[in-house]
Amino acid sequence: MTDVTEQNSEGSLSRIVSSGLPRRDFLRFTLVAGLATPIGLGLAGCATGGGSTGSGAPTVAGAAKSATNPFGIDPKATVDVVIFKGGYSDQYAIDAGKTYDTTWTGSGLAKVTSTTKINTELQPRFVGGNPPDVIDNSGADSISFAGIQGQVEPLDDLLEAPAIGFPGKKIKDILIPGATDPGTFDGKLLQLNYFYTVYSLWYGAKLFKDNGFTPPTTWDETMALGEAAKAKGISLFVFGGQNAASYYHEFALSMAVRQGGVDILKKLENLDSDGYTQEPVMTAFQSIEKAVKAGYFLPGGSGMIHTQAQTQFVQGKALLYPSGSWLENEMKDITGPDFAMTSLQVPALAASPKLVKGFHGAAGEPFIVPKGKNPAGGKEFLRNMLSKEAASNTSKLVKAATIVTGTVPADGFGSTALASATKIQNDGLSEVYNWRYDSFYGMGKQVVTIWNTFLSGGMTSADLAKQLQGLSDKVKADPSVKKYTVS
Amino acid sequence: MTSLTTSKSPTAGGTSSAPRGRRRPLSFERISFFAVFLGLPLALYIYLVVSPIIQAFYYSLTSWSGYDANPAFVGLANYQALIHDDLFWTALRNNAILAVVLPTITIVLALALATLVTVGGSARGQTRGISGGGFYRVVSFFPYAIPAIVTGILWQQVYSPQGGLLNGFLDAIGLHNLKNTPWLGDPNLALGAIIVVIVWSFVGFYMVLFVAAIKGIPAEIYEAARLDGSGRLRTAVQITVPLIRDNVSTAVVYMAILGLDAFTYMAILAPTGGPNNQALVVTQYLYSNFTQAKYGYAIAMGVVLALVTLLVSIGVLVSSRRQQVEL
Repeated sequence: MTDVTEQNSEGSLSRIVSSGLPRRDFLRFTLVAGLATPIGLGLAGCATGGGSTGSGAPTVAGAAKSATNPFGIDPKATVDVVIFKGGYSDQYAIDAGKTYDTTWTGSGLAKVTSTTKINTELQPRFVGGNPPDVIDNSGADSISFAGIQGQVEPLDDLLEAPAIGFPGKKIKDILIPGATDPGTFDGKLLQLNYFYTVYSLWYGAKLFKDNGFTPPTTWDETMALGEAAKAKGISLFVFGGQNAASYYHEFALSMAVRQGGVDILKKLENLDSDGYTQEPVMTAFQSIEKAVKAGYFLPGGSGMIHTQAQTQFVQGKALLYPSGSWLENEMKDITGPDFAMTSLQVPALAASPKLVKGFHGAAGEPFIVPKGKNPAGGKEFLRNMLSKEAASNTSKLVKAATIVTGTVPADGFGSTALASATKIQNDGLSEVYNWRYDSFYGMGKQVVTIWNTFLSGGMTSADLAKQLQGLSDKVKADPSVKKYTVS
Repeated sequence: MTSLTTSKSPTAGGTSSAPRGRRRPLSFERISFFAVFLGLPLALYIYLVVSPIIQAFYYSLTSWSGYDANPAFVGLANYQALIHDDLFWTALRNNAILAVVLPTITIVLALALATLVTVGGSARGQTRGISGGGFYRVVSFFPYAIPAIVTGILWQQVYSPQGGLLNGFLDAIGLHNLKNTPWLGDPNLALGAIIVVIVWSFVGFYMVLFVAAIKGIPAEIYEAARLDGSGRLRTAVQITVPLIRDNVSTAVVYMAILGLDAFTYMAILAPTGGPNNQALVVTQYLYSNFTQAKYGYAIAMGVVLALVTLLVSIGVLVSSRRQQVEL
């Protein structure tokens, strides 16, 4: 015991030094030996692979382009497809792979694999110049598109290719209007967003029926509903403040656009300094503030994540929830069989809204074709995925609409959510609106934080507008961020 | 350092007998011994640890997006941007709080528990712990055996404002107005709530570490202290702590490093940095920059964090070394 403590008191460094020269030589020798070995390895092992280019020329030769082979693919070459295995799982893409194999009378041509970690698994392949031919770039671990924008194939020729299952039509003729907008950058289609999302309020039809409630169409009706619900011990809204308070950002802007028309989006999209002080936007913020102050939100939302909040919603603790049409699929495991989740157009803030039937709709789930081995095959895979058979099969499997028109029947394959969202979509397609500045400029995280404070009563609507404006101003002032403009 | 010069200086009596620094010939045996037991591990260490660190430093000087193979060199621009980044300073401040509070609470608790189960028992007869000490030792180790990610998800449910275990308990004991407390959603509570989780999962491990150290202290010392009339608290503070100082300072370093990281817990319990960014930590902010294709900037943050970690570790170890107790 005594010995050990005494040695320790000297300190390891001085002990090594005081023991004399041999030890130093020993260390020097090993240092040299150790250094010499990995220098060669070290260069080869650096993260950017010593300068190989990420966007090489395609290595699959291919055939001549024709009506049946619009991209001139090599029919024998395999297509490497990586799917994000999230709420929609991966069966729809595996089935689309079978469609591809049928089209080209082969087997195992389309190699469909799936993961939840798109970025983690594929980032090294981009750096190494070996990306897959098709990527479903989605999920929490998706690749920031800004980082790979220069490394993906433009898909404009896909739109001009013949559509499968729609005789005489081109792909561009069979898509929902505006479906290609979110994936278009500087006039070029770089992402194909395959699923069509209707953003709206959601409610459980049975809960409403049981309590004698009517779905509100105006904000005044919404507040009256909140009061009636409060009397029965039910909250009007619920929010998952920890990571999804931003759903109310979407909800507020959607109401503002419905009231004031699509023109109010221009200033927001262009990051103008008066984007959030536009009157309909301020009205929307103030309306939600009134609901917060009236205590219509389920208490404790600021400490919940989206799934916890949505659990409260499907358990009937809150009447309304703003979300995209993925909601039913996301919550299907814990939703009661007779909940009858239904889509509801966002209420009008005041009398005579500019858009009567309008709704926030956007194509989501971006598929990209990187400049890799077989980009022609990648496009051909997307063409097969957009075929009537594959798109219809997808909607049937995942109870969600794709961007291919007319592939969801009126009964929504037995889903009230899909049927009601499809109805809103069909009714309001001439007044559909969408924006992308918040996601495009990566504001999502800060939007969540700001809205979480606001919805838990820690901020006025004026401060909310000011802080959100601050985010836009910051991006606008940053010269390193490439901007897009909307006119 | 003085010992170096004395060993080299010539002795007064002329030729010295059997100089300690004599080289033995480098036989094949010796060389192969060096190669296998030192050269190989060192080579692996340099390849797997040192070279990535050097590379990381290089990438922090570029505007690398993360997906191209030829990042542009931008000098210290990333570091300059860091200085003006408010969120980075918020995150660093939160890390600093964690690095101070986590070791303090964890170690005080672990020491108290370790003392109880080893020397805190009956004041009569042989020095021993409280009865059932072995059982408590095993039970308190359980949380450490749970992976951090599971701990996070577990506590997220415990803290749930709607039907969470904690709020249910508060409601049951009569604190009805606290039954919807958003523990992770209130700017004043979030960081504290997360600190509780981290302490919960580590206190058992450090207790076991300290128990082992205390068992190495001769029982006679405790007996002598007791004969001299030293109470339990005084024994713990003035006998136990100085005698296991090495273990305590190691624990401080580990917990402080954990406080400077804390990524896993934060990613679950404060996925966007918590309310008002009150629980944002550097690793989390760094990761969100990765996801926005700002690899160069994110890596610059990592380099700064690594330097801070290094300084903290050196600071703790040096300050504890100076006050060594000799037995």
